[in-house]
Amino acid sequence: MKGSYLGEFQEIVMLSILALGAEAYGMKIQKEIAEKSGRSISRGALHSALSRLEDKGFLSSRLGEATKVRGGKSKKYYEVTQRGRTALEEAETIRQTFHKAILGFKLL
Amino acid sequence: MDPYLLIPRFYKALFRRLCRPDLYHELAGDLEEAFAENYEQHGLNSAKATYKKEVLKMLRPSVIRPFHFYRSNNTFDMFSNYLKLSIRNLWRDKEHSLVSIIGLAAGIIASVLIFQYTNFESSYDAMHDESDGRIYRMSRQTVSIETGEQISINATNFHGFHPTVADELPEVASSTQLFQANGVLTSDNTGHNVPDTYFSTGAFFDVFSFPLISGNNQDLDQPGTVFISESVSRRIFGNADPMGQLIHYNDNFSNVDVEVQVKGVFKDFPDNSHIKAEVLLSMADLNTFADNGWFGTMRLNEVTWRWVGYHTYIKAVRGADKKGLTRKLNTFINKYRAHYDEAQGRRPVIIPHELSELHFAKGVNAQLEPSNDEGTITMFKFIGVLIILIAWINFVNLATARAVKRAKEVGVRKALGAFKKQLIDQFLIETIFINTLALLLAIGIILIIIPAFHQFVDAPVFDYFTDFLPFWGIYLGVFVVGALISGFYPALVLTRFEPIKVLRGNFQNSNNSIWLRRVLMFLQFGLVLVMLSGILVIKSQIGFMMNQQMGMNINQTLVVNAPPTYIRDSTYTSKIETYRDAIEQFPSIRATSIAASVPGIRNTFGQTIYRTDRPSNESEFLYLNAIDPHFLSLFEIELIAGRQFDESLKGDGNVVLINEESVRALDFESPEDALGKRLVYPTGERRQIVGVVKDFNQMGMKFKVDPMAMNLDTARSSPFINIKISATNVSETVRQLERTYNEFFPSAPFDSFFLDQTFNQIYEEDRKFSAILEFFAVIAIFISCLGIFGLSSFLINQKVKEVSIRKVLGANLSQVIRVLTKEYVLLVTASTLISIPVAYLLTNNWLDTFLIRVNLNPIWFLAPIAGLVFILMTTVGRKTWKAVMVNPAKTLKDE
Repeated sequence: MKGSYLGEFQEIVMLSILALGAEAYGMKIQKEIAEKSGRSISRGALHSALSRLEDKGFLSSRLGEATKVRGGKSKKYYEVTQRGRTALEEAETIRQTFHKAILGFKLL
Repeated sequence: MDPYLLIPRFYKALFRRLCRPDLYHELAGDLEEAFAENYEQHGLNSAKATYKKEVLKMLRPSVIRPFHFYRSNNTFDMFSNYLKLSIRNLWRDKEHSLVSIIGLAAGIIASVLIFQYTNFESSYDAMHDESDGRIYRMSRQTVSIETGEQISINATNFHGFHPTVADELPEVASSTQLFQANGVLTSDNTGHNVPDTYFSTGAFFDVFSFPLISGNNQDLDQPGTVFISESVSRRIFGNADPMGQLIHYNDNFSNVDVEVQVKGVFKDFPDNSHIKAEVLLSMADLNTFADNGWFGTMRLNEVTWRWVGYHTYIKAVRGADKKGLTRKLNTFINKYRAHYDEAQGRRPVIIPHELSELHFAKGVNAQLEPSNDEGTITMFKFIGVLIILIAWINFVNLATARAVKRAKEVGVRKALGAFKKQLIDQFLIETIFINTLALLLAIGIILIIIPAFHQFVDAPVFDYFTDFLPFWGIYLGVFVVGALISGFYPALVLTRFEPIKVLRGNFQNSNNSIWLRRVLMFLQFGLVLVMLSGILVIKSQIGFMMNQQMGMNINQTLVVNAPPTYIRDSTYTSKIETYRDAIEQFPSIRATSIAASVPGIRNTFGQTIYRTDRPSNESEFLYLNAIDPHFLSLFEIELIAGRQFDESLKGDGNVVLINEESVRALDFESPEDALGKRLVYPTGERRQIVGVVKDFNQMGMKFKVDPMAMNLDTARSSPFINIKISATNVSETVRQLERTYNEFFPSAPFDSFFLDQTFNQIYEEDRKFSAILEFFAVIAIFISCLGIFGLSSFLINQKVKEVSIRKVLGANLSQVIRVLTKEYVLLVTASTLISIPVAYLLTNNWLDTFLIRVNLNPIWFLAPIAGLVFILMTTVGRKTWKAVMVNPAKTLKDE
């Protein structure tokens, strides 16, 4: 299926959104990735990933509240759509197939 | 304070301006929230830095807002159209584009390399803080009292100068002195040769701004102290803390052996400093050694105003006037020297050399680092400017010549209503585009060749001047301005075309630009000729010097440094004799000789000597050497009067051999006249002349022969063992020598060198100069060739129709070729007539700076003409042939 390809980084972004649940907006996602995967990414790189995922229909977003610390600018919350979850699961399945193949090979 | 107010304003505004409005709330909000959090967790600076980095990384196509507002008039569309056309034109005419881009890039590369090199050479000794007073080196000119003529200039001064000068002259804020030490440093029974070891004083670090990493500079005034550089510390102590460690210093020339403690570590001195000391010992120790037997029965205070060899520096007080200071320094030294000067018939004159003058000081002996020629550096700068100018001129030339091809396009554009300004914009964009490509290519190549260039000029010139301003900023500025100017002229030429004439078809370039082009070609031809002549002359001169008869034979001579004095005891003389006898047994050893000084190494030892039958003020400074009886035969030095040393004669310890130059200097009528006469040394001893040898060049043909005297070294205490070996199995022989040496002197480092290699180093400066010049001359010639090639191909293309018509009307081959090449023949003739005298004058002046020089050879001026004709044949010839051979029907069919 064209357009359903998931990059490794995109996968991490989606997983971190799922992990954050209702609190998933830009800066939180950036922090979550930095803490869990130990790689520091720029907000710009994250933006690219988010907008591509949204284009593919794997994410949906809504504008949220504005706070003082943001200079009165509103947040944008992200949520993984049903299509997104399916894509994640597919990616996981494919990977496991490979892993099994490799493990099986090693056992011989 | 509210973190929101601390966000870097410029970046905030930049982001606001560039970010797409529909993303702005989300992204800017996130960045600012992250800033606030970073501010609390990591502090303001870190938060600011992160914010700036994040904003810059945010500038990506998906985030930047489209430039809607430019679309209101169609400038932006036209702009992108021009760019598109530039790329298409570049692609269509690949040969032309390649010639333009490579020519420009070569010019940029060459000029950047040259200017980095000349910047480095001009930056010598500029690292010291002279805001509170200038630093001067006390150079010492020796002048004959009778005639007032200069005899020599020396970089070193008297021992007594530094200790007294600051006390007596209020203009001198502080002073210091350096004395070259020649010895071995031993730590943990391992010997280390550190060539740049000096004795100095604590004030060294007051006068100069070399930074101390640890230690207190005043400690250097205490006996038993040593300061070392970081790299020496690493070499001797590895990563351990050097402070407080003990090292032995063993002098090579005397039996001094002293234990010193590391009390200071300094940063390595930069490459563009004329002082490159790595180890500084305490002057207090040197004074003690000298006071105890270095001058026979004389004590140090008796020779303090006679002993030279001290590089002496003073720091003047702020605002001290140099003229007044010079006068006072000379009154000061006169007071102490007058007594000796009268007896010797010559007196010293102090010349305070400013630090900035040292690297270019001319004719000064015994400098810490040989100085460079300022004229050479100026010449390199000139060549640098010339090369980039040629590159731009070529570019302009090519662009205007090509304008003809674009004439129709301009005509159509004008007819359709293009304004002049728009056309200029279009062609300017095109030339700037080409310039930018050339600049990028040049930067890429420079980055790649930096290490090779460092090796080539033997200086890490790109490690200095790394600041963007003033260095890289200036380069960039010059190239941008150059690109604009060289783009503007072709743009003007193109837009001047009148649409009616151009579109009707009978279009010719204006007379003006043809003449401009001819002048530029003429200049380039001349330049190629002068450069080729220059290369030939320099190469011949260096080859000539290296092949001169030096009055001796240094081939296949290996010099082994004798063991350091600390392992010399009462058995040393017999030990070194047995070692010599042992190695003489090897079949590959042809001769050996032990001497105090060897050719190729500057003899710094000398004394003022006079004849017993003349008054003491007719004295001469004679360089002294101590040799054994085999020295003359090993180096094949000819004896022209008298006899050799004879060790069986007991009295030969008190006789002396002199060279022809000494015969002249001491005013003997002939070599035979000198025999049997006696000389008086400053220590009071007298020696009889028993032989005269033919002059030989101790330091190669760049230097004149100095008057010299040699006495017999019976104690075998001299530091050099000369060994003449046969040419076969050289490395095996050296290994054999080393093994034997280690058996005889187990704790001494084996250190050897080949004399001819040392000699080659004397010519190294000239060779380097010639290689660098050659390199840049080749680049200049290459750019010129590219220009000639590009230009001629367009000119010939323009004439294709003319040639075809002539052929149709019955012209034969030679007539047609004449039509195509007449202009070049005339231009080459004209530039030959001008450039040969120019090349003659330039090279003749350069050769005159040498003591011995080659005579000018007509070939050096004729061969370049042949070279130029060859270049033209290969560039113009091919195109001409194509034009001549073309079928007239093809080119005339659409007329």
